[in-house]
Amino acid sequence: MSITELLQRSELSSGLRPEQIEQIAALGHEVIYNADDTVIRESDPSDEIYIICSGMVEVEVSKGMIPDVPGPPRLSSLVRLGQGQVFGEVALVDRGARSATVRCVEDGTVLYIIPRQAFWALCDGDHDIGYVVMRNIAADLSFKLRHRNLQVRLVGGEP
Amino acid sequence: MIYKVSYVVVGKPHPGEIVNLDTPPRVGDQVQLGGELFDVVEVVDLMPPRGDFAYLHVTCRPAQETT
Repeated sequence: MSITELLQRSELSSGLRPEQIEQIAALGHEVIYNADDTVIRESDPSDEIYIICSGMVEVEVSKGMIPDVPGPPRLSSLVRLGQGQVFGEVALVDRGARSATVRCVEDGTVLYIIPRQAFWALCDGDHDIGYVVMRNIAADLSFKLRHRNLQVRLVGGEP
Repeated sequence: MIYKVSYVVVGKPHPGEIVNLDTPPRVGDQVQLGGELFDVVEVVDLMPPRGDFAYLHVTCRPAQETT
């Protein structure tokens, strides 16, 4: 599947015309990961947004981390994301540090990576694209929040 | 239509998944999440469809033995 075809099946570009999708497709590049590779790490600076071309990733947050206690933090899994899903969008929107760790769970997971600066430049330069993409990111964040709310309601938030 | 589906698992520790599907899951279906089999017990559309996307939240349990 080409990047353009991937974007046509991703909510990120829902509502955009083909030529607008082509502009987003021109911004990034593909990277292939193996299982257990960490793509982004909680609290790190953020520079990119990611779209899953194939494979699966797991989103994790550290739990009960005490800064002065040595050793790796205990991680709690929030959700797994499959083809067409976007991650890294929280830091894209608020420009803060990474809010979670994202790790690949399948060998050969392919991610399409778009640099934040290029993404913002496109959105700032073409407000039609910028409005639609930001609306889509808001809808995606809303969907993920509803997923998390259901987890808390049904299983107490402990996956 | 592309179905954006959130799976929440009850009855077993599992983070759930968010995936895009070409066909919507139905109650009674079996679905494989992370190599494990689950029964779909509830499907709700909390958000109305928008553009080419429909949004479904699915609850599932570990699959019952059928032997």
